[in-house]
Amino acid sequence: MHIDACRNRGVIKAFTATLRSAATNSAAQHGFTLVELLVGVALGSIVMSGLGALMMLSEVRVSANIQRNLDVKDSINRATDLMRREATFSSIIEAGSPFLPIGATTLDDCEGATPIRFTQRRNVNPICYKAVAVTDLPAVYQPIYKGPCVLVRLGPPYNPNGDLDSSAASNVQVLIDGLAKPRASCGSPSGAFRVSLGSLSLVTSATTPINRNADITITMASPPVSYGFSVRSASNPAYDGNALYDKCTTLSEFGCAAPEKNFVTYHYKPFMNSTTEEISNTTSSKENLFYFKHPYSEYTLSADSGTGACTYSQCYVSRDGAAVKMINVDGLIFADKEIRVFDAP
Amino acid sequence: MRGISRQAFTLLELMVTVAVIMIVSSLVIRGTYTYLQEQHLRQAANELVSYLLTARGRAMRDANVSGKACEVQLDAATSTVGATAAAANICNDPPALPALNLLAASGAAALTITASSGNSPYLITFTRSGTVAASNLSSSAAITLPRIFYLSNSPATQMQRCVMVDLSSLRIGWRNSPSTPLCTYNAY
Repeated sequence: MHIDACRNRGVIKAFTATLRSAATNSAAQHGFTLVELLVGVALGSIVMSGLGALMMLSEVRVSANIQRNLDVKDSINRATDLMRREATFSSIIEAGSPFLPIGATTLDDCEGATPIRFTQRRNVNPICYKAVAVTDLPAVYQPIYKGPCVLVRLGPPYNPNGDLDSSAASNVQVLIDGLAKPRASCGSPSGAFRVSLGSLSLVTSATTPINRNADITITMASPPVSYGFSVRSASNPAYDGNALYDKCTTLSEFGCAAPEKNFVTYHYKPFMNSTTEEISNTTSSKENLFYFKHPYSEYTLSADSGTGACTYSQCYVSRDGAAVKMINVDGLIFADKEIRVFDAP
Repeated sequence: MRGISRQAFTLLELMVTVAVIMIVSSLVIRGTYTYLQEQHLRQAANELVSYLLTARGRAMRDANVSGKACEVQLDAATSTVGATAAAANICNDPPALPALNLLAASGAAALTITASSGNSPYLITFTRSGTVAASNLSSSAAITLPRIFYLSNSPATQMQRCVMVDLSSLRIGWRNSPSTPLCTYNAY
């Protein structure tokens, strides 16, 4: 209707102009001359083509906007699905802040500058996600993406059967283009890709907690919309140590050991009798968690009988004359706290 | 009625008018033809993307058994996209995903399909997690690049449409001519 009205108005204007000039002319009674008609037609077509161009431009803009929004939603849905799936099968979820430093924007590094890292098992390459500037991408990648920031995934590729090819080298892929750059650096922990870890226990600066879930927020540049979602590991949260005996597959002098259904995590509950137990049958391909009955403060942790620091390779935990020596220690679960154990860097 | 001219248009005037009308309408027709050609290409790109989205949905819904995936191939010679006959192809299990002729679906007079890597027919395998198998994309060193399909008229003289297939996303873009090195995607 609007376009019709404009069109009519344009034609009427052309006619009025012509009529007015005709009225002031003494030859008005002779009808329109060819020149007058041509001028009228020319004016009319200029107006019409202008309107047509505007209409086409608007149609193109609308359809580009729709396509853009669909693309944004699709890529965010796919990326969040992928992150959820990879977190589900991971036993260790770590975030770059505050537990790992974020500073550099090294692209192929899953160690330092990474906002979130999923480790399935210790002997499989970890998967990490981080926001980087388009200018940090390899040269072949840069012209494809707009930026200013993009979300990249660094990790093993997928086989056609849908399995993660854990034997292949990790590679880099862009998952989402067009992340906002609200801070000076794309990799800023408070930037467009924010991760906050959910912790099952009290966190102090002295210990690293075991995390099974994380809240993630992605902020797009245009339209400036934030998308929030949670990822969670399907590894069971820590058992109640006392209930562990029900799940035992191995009950020996060392205590109790129970595997998770996914065989990623193994749970051990040392007896902690008067003698020193030694749990040395653990394997590095599993996440090994050890359960203790009393609060963290009642135990003394060391590498071996009072010397050194408790690490992944070896940890010695003692209380009231009873002690246990363990190898391949991923986590210690106390009554009040769960801590992650690493090897000294 | 005195004073009204009884003089009609001269032949010259009429011919000038007809010539002007013909010139204007030829411009309009040419513009419309180009616009329609581009619409056909856009339609072909949309058809290809929606076919791939359907295949992806099928893989995520049905390929829940390890070892299965939805494998489709794009044959540039026939402008047809369809499920392959691979044994572990969930899209080939009944009811099989029917093949789609992009030329017929878009109404274009001719369609040329090329890709940034690989040879026709181009394989695209959607895994049960909705990702595209890395072997379908182009890899170099530690980077996996997306595979980009270029859809153009034949001969490829005008604007092209690009369909980008990446690990987890599908995007439609365009480039102004085949000689332009890169596609432009909608800026987010």
